[in-house]
Amino acid sequence: MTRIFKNILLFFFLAVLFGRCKDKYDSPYKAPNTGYLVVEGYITGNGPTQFTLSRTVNLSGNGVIPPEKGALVQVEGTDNSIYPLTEVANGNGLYVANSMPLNAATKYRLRIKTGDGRIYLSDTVPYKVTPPIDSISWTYGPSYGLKIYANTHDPANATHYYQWVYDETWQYNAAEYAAYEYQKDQNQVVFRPDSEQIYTCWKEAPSTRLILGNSTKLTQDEIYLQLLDQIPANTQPLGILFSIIVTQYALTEDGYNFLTLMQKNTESLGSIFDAQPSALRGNIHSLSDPNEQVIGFVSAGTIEKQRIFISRYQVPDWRYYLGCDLPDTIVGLSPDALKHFYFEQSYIPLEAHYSFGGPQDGWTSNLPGCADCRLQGGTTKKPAFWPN
Amino acid sequence: MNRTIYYQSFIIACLLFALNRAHAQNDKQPLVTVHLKDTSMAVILKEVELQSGYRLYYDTADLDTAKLSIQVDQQPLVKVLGEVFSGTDLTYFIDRQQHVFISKGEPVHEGLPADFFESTAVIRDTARTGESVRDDLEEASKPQVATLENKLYVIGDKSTAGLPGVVNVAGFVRDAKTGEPIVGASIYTEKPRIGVASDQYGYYSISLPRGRHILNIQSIGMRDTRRLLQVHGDGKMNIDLQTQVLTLKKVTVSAEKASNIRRMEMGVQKIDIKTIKQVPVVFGEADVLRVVMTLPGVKTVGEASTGLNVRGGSADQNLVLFNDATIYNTAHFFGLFSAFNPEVVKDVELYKSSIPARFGGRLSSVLDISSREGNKKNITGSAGVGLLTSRLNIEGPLVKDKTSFILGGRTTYANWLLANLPDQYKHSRASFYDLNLNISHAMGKKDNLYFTGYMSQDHFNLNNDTTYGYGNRNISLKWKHIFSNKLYSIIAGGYDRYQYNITSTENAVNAYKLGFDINQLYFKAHFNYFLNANHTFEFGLTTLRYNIHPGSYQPVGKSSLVAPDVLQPEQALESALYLSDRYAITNSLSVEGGIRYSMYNYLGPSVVNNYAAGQPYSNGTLIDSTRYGSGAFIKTYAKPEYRLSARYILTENLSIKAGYNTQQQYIHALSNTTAMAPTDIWKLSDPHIKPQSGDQVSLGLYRNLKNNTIETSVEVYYKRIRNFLDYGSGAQLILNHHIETDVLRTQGKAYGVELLIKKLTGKFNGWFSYTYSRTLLRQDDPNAGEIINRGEYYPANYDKPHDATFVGNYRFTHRFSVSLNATYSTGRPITLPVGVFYYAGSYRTLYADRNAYRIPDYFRTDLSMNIDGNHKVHQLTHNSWTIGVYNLTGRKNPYSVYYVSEGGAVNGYKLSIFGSAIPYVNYNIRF
Repeated sequence: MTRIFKNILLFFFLAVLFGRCKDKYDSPYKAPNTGYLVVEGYITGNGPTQFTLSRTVNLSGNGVIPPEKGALVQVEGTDNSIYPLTEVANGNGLYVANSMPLNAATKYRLRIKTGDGRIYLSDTVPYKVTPPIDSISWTYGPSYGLKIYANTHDPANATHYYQWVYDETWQYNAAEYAAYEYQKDQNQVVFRPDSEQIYTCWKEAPSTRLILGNSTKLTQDEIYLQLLDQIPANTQPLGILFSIIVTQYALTEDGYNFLTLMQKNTESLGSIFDAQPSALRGNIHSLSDPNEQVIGFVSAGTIEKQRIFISRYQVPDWRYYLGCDLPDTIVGLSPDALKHFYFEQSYIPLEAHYSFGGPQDGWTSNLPGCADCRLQGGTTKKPAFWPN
Repeated sequence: MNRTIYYQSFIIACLLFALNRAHAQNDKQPLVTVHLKDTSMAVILKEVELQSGYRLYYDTADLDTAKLSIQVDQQPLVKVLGEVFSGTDLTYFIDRQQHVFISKGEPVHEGLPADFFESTAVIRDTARTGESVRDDLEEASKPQVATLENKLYVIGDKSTAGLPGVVNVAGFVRDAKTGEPIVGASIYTEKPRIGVASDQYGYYSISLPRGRHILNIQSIGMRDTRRLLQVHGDGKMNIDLQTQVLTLKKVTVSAEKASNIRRMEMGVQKIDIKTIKQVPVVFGEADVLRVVMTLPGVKTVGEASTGLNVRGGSADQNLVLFNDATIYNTAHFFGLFSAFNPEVVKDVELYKSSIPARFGGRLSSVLDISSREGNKKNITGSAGVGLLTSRLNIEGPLVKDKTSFILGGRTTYANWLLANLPDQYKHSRASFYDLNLNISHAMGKKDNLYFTGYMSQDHFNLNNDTTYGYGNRNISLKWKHIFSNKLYSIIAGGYDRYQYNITSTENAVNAYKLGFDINQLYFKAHFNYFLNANHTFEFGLTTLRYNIHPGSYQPVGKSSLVAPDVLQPEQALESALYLSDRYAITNSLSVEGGIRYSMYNYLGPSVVNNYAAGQPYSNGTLIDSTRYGSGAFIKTYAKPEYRLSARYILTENLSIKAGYNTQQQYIHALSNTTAMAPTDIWKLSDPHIKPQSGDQVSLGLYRNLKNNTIETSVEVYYKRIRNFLDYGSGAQLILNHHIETDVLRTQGKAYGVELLIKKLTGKFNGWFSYTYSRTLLRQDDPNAGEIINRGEYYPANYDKPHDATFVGNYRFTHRFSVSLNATYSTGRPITLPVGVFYYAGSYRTLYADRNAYRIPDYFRTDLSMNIDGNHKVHQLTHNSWTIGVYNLTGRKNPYSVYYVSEGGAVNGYKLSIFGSAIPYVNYNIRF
């Protein structure tokens, strides 16, 4: 068979099975206003209990989720204990209790009184003991990059339903190092102090998917190689040093099913054999109006955390290099030149430039896209847990 | 032919002047001795000619076709001839040159001495009515087809000729070239108007008044023919039809092609494989089910699905029979191909309204696919090569004219293509094959045996190591026995199996294999009794034993920690007794009434959960469970089903039909996916899951135009469905030990109007259909589970109100034709998000009412060109090419619309199966 014929066939096949058959879709329908209360959080005694209250918005909205402020939130135990959560100032609807003496013999529930006086109450849920994370492991392959897994087991065979949440942090550099900075008040270039360096940044990426696992089909309560995240090969996260902290939660079967349905509804739809979306029912109810829909499922238990670091040197094949498309510009020393480039055009001075064998005749400079790592989404503040 | 005419004119000339001498010659005649049994008249006359030395002139068409036994010793020629011709209207004249002219004619008859007939010694074999005319002709060694039409066939004993009353003629209609039966041939007389159609075995039975008739035989694709009959009593006659060689002459169409006017059933559509092959389909592989989908009232959820939704029924409410074997999964290759090899299929019949009483067990429709029997004369075959599939088919006689076989296979070679794909798809695999073997055997004149074996298998994985496999296995044996002209029986038995498995070994600790299978063993006894011209009875019994393994989950490999989890097997027995009578009250008014009493037993061993009375089934309301032993009758459901229909012919071209039927269904497919997935669970009715039941009332008007070349019909229907299973929100359907807690009992209604305009003859043929229909479901019983959409009616997944389809073919020359089809339908309902919320690090969508919105409308046009090689009859192979384009306009018809949370944001997508025009080419060869 000739190569051309083969390619034609290939084209047909691609067009048919995997071709550009997926297009953006904007619903022509106008959805009704909802504004249902959304409750997210986990009641725990061995760490801060955090609940975020917000409201649903229209699909066609601008994506701004209104926080639910001014609510009274408290955890209630079946032993008649009450632990109030306090609203974090400017916390966008975040309510926190830093430590609560909770115990596994007691069941707990959440009571919310919103600013408009409506009262919401969750079902009482058992306080589950989350087994520790055995390890966070990873594998590398040139085609898929880095895969990060969680491994755990419960010798008591009592957990079965797990959820993981992670927060990734990695260090990266700008393409070019800026040793100097421009002071616009004096219209002059000075050495850049370490505290204002813009070459090294740290970026943070929390998990955005629901990561759920269960061991109900196994003879032992064990989770082996539960995929947490996949980092495409030769990308920035592993350019220097990468870290991930994983929090493990134990769930009840109902809590697990709720999150699984949410996951199915929102993450795995659209392929031919995927299930269709369906209504989501949590365990929080409105006392004022039994028919009012509330999104969220309250679970309780201890939490377990583990952090690992992965250095680029552990993955020798990883090739990440951030180049700069823009050529360096030599900015003259005249005040007009400084003003023109640094003030009006935001250039950043990198280093001093000298004429051949002569005195300094200018500053090697470039635009912030090449010299300021913060433009790629990170901050220059080194996290406390970061090694030196 | 010329010789016959010559003789005839000669006879007439001679008769004119020699009439009076007719019996003056007998004293000098030679003596003849004939001892023959069961012999045709032609052979006897040859013998007489030989012994006497006289030359006998006659027209073979005039001869009596019945077989004779004659015993004469040393008798004069006239005496012998007298005996041979006794009871017939043949006469003879002997001239001086020792020529005997045999003819039909009153004058000579009158001149004969009366005693010629009194001393008759001819013993007519009483069994001769069981003989076929066809055999007779072969002995006469003059099977010229052209003369057949002019030949007079005498059926029955002449001695009863004068009696009044009605007698019965029955036999098989076959293809003269291959010996295969012709189904649905129309056999009728003009005066009086009596008509029947041949059944699926090519068998017909017609009641006629005694006397002379012209029997017309017509079948699509075959040359129209007729037979002259002299009917004296009950008898058999087989009819061979010639394939129609298409000519450019105007096709003459006569009144009786109008079978849709006269036909009793309504809502029945039949398509033969020739029509199916003309319709363009994706990848050019003729697809039985895709063509069925173009019929009014038939819908499908999308392109990657061969599940049919007939008149508002779900895909599992169709009984798909392939030569009596139930096919549970009709899809190959992600649903892009159907499971039936077009080379083996003869025709497809879809019953969507008047379902005959012999069928049952599904609510919506019966799709009866029959395979060809194989060429009974020669070994022939065909092969086809397409882009993704190829097929081979061999057929021929095992014993000539008695036993024939047809063996067909199909396979795909998509894997090499997949291996060439970019990395992210490279490890995907998809393959399928299917095999058919049919053997038919004629044991004597009254018994026929049919064996069918079918096997299909699919394997695929979508770029991970989870492998899916599924397949059908079917074997069946059928015995048709003809007791008499009026009564025949079909006894069938067989075994059907559908299985699937999912295997994943990537993660050694979680490596598993999931298996599911349905097995059914069945027995059917069917009787057909033609009482008289007014009544035809059908009755019989069927019994079916189910054995389902609803799921087994097993570890794979040593390090797998998977705990074996096996759901308890399910057993049940489904039986039915039925009786129906087709009663022609007058020529215009016919009614058919049928009753089918179906009974279902859910059998042990089983452990059945007990729930609190009056509460929805859930883990919370579970009280305890009851253990039943092997063979215990755990739960029995029984109900009569009624099948009623009536037809009234208003004018020759206009009739009206009405029907009412009720159905029960005891096995349910549970699915929460849009398309029928290979991994759908089939669940038997049990103490918690009640049988589905439905009834339908329908009314139709049928009118033929332009000399019956155009058929039009309008049918309306209203249907109720009870206890249809829908899934609960977040239902877990696989490996669920208490599936009753995850499904909902819903009530449904469906109604619609269907329009069909069809032209099946001429250079331009095809059909246009339009359907307006709605299918609505409701779940408002709080004790039956979660209430959906506040207990209001909501549209079913396949509710597509408007649906218009055009299928056309234009034949430019004998060798070149172009087919076009175009289809439009309303988009199917979909659950769209009503809002967005933020949870677990991402914006997520909020769903509320089920199926409250619709995806964009569907429109597609396909074009294909069929190019045949030359039509010389005698050549080694016949070739043809099919070249076409699927989805000519390249429209991206959305299969689904969905919203998904990706990287923290919500994105809406529209997914199309075919995002562009898909060209294809297919090469077919016949040998």
